Amino acid sequence: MKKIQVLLLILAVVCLAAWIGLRKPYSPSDDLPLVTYTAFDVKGINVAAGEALAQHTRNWSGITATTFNPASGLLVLSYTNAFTENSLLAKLQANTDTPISKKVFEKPAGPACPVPMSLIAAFPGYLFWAGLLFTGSLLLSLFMPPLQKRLNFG
Amino acid sequence: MAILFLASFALASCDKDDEATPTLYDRLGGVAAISAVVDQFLTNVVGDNVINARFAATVANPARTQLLRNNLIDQICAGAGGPCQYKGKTMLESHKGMNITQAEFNALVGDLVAALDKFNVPQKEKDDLLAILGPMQTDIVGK
Repeated sequence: MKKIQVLLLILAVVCLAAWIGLRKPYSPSDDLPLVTYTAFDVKGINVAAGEALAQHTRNWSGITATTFNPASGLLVLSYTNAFTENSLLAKLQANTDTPISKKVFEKPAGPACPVPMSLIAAFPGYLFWAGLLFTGSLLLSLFMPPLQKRLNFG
Repeated sequence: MAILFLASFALASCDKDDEATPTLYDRLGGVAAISAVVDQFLTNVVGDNVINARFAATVANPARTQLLRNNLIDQICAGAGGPCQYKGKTMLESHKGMNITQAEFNALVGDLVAALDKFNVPQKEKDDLLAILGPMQTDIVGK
């Protein structure tokens, strides 16, 4: 039992120390709602109609920014989770006769990190919760036997 | 005597308050206004054929996009005297090996100015902000 308690103590200290070292300082931007950026191909639309569509779209709830670039024929939107890519595409298409499709950018050549970015970002949080779990287990193992004795469970 | 001391202290404090000028962060409108400008800036960048290929991998990955957005907000907010902490790499580290050209940098600045114009940011605030970001050019172009 003692060995398990020592192991739990070491794991808790290592996880919490690593979390303290890796965690990022708080910034007010951490509280902002998450947004997604998507580019839609609107080639063929005239400049006035493209700008009007961008302006109209900007008024939808959940849209945080819009850009229509006549040179590239792209309508780019940033939006909160009020929309999905498909729901946005459907709503856009309902507002114009010009065919709209999602712009797929060419994947850049070269090596890419095999570990997903979301996992890297979430890793300090996992360490924190693991540290709490080990601390909780340690406390439970320390206080459970006396409690069992007092209540005559053991 | 004590009353005189307290009165002079209070008057001195008032004088200091009058002298204090709002930071660029306050004049821009805080973190909400900065995030609105950054969203507009990034949609401008993604729509811009001169540089959007540079951001293709980022836009395709929501976690990377979020990181870039928050880093930009933090960088502008902290540079403007706000309470944010920039948590990203240095400009030199993050652009090393990318061989960014002067034309690409100019296009990026153009997209930022367009975003500021869209929100009618006054010329003084625009100049102050560009004066903070401008020196980063040496760490970005040709690295």
